[in-house]
Amino acid sequence: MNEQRLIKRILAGDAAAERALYDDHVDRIYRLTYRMTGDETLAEDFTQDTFIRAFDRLQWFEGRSALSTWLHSIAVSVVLNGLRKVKRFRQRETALDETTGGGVVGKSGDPELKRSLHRAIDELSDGLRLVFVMHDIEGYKHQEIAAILDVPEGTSKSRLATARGQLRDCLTQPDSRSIREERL
Amino acid sequence: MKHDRLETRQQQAAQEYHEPPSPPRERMWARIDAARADQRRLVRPPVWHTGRFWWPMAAAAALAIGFLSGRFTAGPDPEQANQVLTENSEQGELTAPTDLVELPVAEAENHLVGSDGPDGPINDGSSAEKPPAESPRHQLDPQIYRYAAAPVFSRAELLLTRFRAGEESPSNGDGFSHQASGLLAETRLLLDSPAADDRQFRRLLIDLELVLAQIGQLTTTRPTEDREWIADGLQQRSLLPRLRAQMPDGTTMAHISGGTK
Repeated sequence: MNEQRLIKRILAGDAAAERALYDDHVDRIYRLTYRMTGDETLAEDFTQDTFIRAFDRLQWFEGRSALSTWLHSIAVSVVLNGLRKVKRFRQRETALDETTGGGVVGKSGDPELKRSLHRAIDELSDGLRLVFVMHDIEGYKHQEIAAILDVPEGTSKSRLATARGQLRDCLTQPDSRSIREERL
Repeated sequence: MKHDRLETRQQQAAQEYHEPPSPPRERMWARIDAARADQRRLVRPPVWHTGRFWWPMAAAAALAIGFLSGRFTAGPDPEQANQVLTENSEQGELTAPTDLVELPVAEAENHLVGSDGPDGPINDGSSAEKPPAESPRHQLDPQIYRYAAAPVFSRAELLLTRFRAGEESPSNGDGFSHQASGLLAETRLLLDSPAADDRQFRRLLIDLELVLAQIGQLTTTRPTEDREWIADGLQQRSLLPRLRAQMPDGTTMAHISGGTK
């Protein structure tokens, strides 16, 4: 359905139109919030919050960007603000990975690489992790990322390069924890 | 910048980072719908109510007006107050009696012990009294009380988010209980205010009161099952989305508290 028509119907109070907007975008937004939080409850929370805010502000949407871009901007804001509130979340998630990931061969076939890489991704700042997750994991294009984050496309590329560089540095450094475990 | 891409194996491993399950569409939509139903009952505020500068001013003014009107409509014996006034006026000066009933507001503010003035809290050393049943409720727009509720809701949102994320533990459980108890008292004040005349708003306050009371009773010795039961209750009541829906646009916990915890 044409975006403008959908928005008009939503603003007129059409419940089916609201649900259509939700169905069109919920999967992608949920995937993004889950990738950033790694927690089902938080991902649901942030996804819900995104749509509640979007419906509340829809009357001020001017159509200068795609509706999807606008929705993702709200989702990014909700996630980043929410993560600041739950600071210790990522440390708990890393601990869980360490205790439950041993000996499991994932699709990559290298559990140690997976553990190290995931730990390294957790260590990235929220901003760098967001761009890395969006581009390298979820497949967003730089043009879309730049529009969502309201930054130049060059900034999106630069942040991604910085994130990749930090990840490579983490992976090439000897992992003192795993070496200790092997010795034991 | 393809030359700086991760190796193929690393890219494959990255795909498994926080791999998402299928989204629980119906469950999330039900909560969104519930929060939207609450929202639809709010009157959209005039433009000057929005903005980071005006809503704290409105909240502070509402609380001050509420306290003042409560203090001056509260009823001790009017005859006693009149007698004091008469005696004082005969002496040629007007001083505040212990119980403030008949004095004009401006003069009473000047004589209150520990008062910060019209915009601050009032502490005259006397215990707070409930207004008598027959005294009229003030005619302020209940919307003002909802804006006064926003800081309470924001602190509750932070507490409940941290509780559900599992930050509450036997080592800091007493701290959580203490915070919850403080918020519980404020929630009950809101329940007694005209803002609770609105049925949906009242229902939200009642649900919040219940959860805060449960958390307030948690001690370090209570079993984990109690915590899980409270967290389940939070989920079923869709309390967090409903709280967030009540907060004015642009209000974040970081802004209100002056920093995140």
